[in-house]
Amino acid sequence: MSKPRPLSPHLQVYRPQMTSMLSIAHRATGVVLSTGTLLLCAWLVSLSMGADSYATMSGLLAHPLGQFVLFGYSVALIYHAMNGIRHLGWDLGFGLTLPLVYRNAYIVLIASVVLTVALWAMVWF
Amino acid sequence: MAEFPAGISHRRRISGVSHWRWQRFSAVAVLALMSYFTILLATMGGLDYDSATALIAKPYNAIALAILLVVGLYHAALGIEVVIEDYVSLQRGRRMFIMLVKFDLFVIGLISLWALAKIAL
Repeated sequence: MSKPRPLSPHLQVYRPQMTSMLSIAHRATGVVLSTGTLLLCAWLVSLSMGADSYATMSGLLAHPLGQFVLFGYSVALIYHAMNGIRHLGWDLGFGLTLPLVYRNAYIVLIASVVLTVALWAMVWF
Repeated sequence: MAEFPAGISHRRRISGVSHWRWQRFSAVAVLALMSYFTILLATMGGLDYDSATALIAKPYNAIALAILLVVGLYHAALGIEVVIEDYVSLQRGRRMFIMLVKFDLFVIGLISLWALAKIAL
């Protein structure tokens, strides 16, 4: 630990680009999803503790704020899944040219919006 | 033996490939299981106590959820480790930070699995 090792480039000195923004969003949503496991954990614990505690938990989730959190979680989940598929494609050697990287970026964004709307349409209707 | 920069152990260096590989393997498993549970929950509509318990008590759902919890939290640990490595220097407690996050995720996993076992068994 004698010499400071270099860190990743500082995010704020670069002009935002589609590619970098999606990459940062992938990491951010990953962190959000990791934190969100607390919610799943709490839900499971409430269910395991019986009908009363589960009713309290359901009430919290049904509250507009709870619904907002769930909506946010679903956005993070779907985006991370779609961009994750894009990453797996790269790892297999697909879509690595610059035009394809950009085209797939738009596909990821459109697919995320469409799937999020479809998910909540399924929940509510 | 090759020389490594100060602060990076030999063991840490050679485990890089396996880290990368398991991040991808776990990603595929989480993708499949998360899709299953997301669609399942979305199509079920509201979940009252009885239907939620019945859903999770089904052996194949309980096993699938247990696998999702273990593999998903493992995927999260690998991912957050890389994010911390990129933005927290060794001098500012990178290792401690990573250990703390991994410990937290481990505890979340234990509690979740314990609750799951209580519901399903």
